Amino acid sequence: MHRKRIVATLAGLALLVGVALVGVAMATQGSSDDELVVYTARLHYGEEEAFRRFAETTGYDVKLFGGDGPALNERLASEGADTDADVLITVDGANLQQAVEDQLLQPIDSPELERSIPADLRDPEQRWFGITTRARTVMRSTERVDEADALTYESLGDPRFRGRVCLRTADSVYNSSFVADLIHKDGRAATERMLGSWMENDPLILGSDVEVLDAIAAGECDVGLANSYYLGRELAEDPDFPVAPVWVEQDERGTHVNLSGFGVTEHADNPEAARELVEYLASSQAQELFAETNSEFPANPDADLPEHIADWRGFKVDPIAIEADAELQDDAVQLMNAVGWQ
Amino acid sequence: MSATGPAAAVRSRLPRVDGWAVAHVGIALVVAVPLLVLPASFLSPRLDVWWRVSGPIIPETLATTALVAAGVGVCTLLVGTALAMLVSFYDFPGRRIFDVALVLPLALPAYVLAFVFLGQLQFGGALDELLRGALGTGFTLPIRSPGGAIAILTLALYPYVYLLARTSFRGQSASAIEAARSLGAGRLRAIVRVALPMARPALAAGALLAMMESIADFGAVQLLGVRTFTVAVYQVWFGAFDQLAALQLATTLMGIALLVLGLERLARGRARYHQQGSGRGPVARIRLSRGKGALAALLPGAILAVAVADPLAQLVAWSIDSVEEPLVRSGFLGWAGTSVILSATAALVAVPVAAVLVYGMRVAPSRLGAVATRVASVGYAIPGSVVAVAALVSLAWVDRRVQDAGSALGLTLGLVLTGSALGLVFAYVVRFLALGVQSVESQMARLSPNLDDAARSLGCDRLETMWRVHLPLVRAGLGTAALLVFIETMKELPATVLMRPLGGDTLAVAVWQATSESLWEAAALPALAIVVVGLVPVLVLVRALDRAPTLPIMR
Repeated sequence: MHRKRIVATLAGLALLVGVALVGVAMATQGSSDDELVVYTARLHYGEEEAFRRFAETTGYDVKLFGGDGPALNERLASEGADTDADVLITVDGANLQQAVEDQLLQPIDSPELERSIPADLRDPEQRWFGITTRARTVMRSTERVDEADALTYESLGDPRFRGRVCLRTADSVYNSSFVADLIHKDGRAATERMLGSWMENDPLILGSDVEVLDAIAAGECDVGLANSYYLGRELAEDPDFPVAPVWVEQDERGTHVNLSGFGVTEHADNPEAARELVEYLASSQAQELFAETNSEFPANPDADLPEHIADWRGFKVDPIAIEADAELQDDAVQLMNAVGWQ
Repeated sequence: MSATGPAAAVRSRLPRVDGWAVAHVGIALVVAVPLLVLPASFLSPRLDVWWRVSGPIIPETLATTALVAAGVGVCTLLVGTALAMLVSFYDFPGRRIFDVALVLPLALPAYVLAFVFLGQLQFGGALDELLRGALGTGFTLPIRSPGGAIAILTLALYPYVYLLARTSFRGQSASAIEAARSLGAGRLRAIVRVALPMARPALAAGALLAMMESIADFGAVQLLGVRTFTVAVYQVWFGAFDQLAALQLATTLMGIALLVLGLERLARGRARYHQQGSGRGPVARIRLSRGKGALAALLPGAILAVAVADPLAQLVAWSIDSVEEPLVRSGFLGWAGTSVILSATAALVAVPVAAVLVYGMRVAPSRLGAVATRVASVGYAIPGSVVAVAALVSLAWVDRRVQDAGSALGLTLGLVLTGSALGLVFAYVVRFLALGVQSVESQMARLSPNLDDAARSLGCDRLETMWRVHLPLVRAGLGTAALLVFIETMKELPATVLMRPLGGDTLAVAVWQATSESLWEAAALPALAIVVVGLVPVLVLVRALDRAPTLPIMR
């Protein structure tokens, strides 16, 4: 009698474990028809509101999966045809180009997208589209540096700023893309000379753009290099933050700008819905939301800038050479190592 | 009713195919095979990968890893021993509170400490302004360095040495120290010359455990930009897109981890041998004068302020600020839910498996079973990133076979294991099975074999003996096992980051993602949740401290 009860209870327990496992598997695997899976490297950039509104109006269930660009590319590549991802969103053009080279993205035929996003901010074969741009430029202390003293990238190597320059670590993709772009346009020797002059100023190397800005504000540095939106975030919180961007190279080829963008994945389960989503992300309505929450420059020229960065417009932009820059990433890293930028 | 009669007699004479042995070996294989896949990466014909990618990385990474591990070993040894000496041999104000409170840092994962200090020490952060106010501008603590990593890991890991040293000191009899004093040694001298040497094996075991954890750490060193092996594996896998090179690095890391594990086993074995608390009872504490007492309280007070009070206060402050952030507000319940479900599932699988291993060893002890149980427990010594890499590669292979089988039957199957949370649960079980085995084992060991005989003589068969006698008596051990697996899973970072499925991140992943964007405030609330849940087993441990002198203190 007892025996049977015990065996039954044990079997029940085993069944419970089995059911739990199957439940977990089912709950976490596979996507249904009205589900859109977005791999995004922009998890903390304020897109959630845009996705929420899109989900509300269309009824799609949007699932976000965050990670850094290379990790998402790798995951997408290893999942192959079995991926659940419909849309890939990355920061920096190099990651987009890598995705294209790994054949992770498919062309999107959409007149609406072509209207929203200018031709220089999208792939000629329509595999990726820019979502926002951001200037990587010289930041100065409003208390100690005049704008006229830091008009070019060379200024960071000006001896007057010896010991007063802050840079982010060389392993940031923003830095390697920036340097790759310099190599592409100025050649290796000129780039090495300029970076060498930066290093002679004995820069303080910090872990993030945010720290570079904070160091300038705290008086540890006078000038630095950072992406514009990090400063925008600070200014949104504190309009008196004592740092200002310098739109450099205005008499030359313009300020370096990098790109954040998206594409529809090669093996999207739901390419139609994915197209709807990216069309929405490119609309001026969504784009203004990004500018508002993350202070980036909308790729869509119809979108307005929010008040706290309203005057960050109209400067000359150095056109992006994504393909060339992506190819030169390794060279850029080697060059930074060679001049001693850690 | 037990089997009697001629049939049973015949059966007992036949060579038995032992179900327990099959279970033991089966479990050990499932756990160990993925880890055996790793060394195979060196057999690849693509030698160029070794020369070009992993080979050049290894020397520098090895040096960094060794530096951090050695630094953590030395520092935890000094801090943990000093603290244990203070609370064991001296009496001073606050001693009873310090005695248990000094274990609390175990509840704070190193990656949480790391991001709190990064936030506080960055320009304009709370600690930065304090320090520069006191020491002038231009002063910065170089926290993003091997030194910074050693400091933070020491704060998180010194309790290992502290706990083992404390247990060892308490187990020593007073007679040895009194003998030394009667021979003319001063108090301090007697402690240093007699008590410390007797505790040496325990101290070594504690420091080696801390070193093992420091080698396995991923989150803290990644945040601090210190490239140890765990970080290199991640960077090579994702940054250089080179799986083979990543596997080779992971194999090297596993080799180091197993080496340290071997050393730890050696030290611990001697620790057991040396402990003999008999004779005149424990050492009487020396009451310190008021001034000296205050001085003595300074060290533990300072350690607790830096390792517990300050981070907790900062986490609470940031959490309050972050509640208005839409991502935190809308995400928190989801992260917590995913964490709970994954942790509970891991515990639900690991505890029965551990119970089978341990129970098999009780009712059918064998050499094979003992070896299999050890093998199945080895994942605990292997860093989470290595377990994840090994599990990913081998489960992906299984997934492909399942798909092939499916398509032969006309079914289209997705990636059953690597595409869902099952792969991650598997990695958790590999990693934390040892915790379950230890907890159940320590409980089971207390049950006298006479119990089994008594039960049998009262007419219980094996099944009933298990159900009605053993199970009720080891229930506490099963509970502890489940609790430990649950909480370690909740804190786990590298495997979770590498293998997390779609459909919701965990608390640890939310912390990781926010901190990699330097958004300390957004990371605070999920981190606080992990810490609060992590306090539970630490408090249980504290309560058990004085009841049982030997504890499963492996984390």
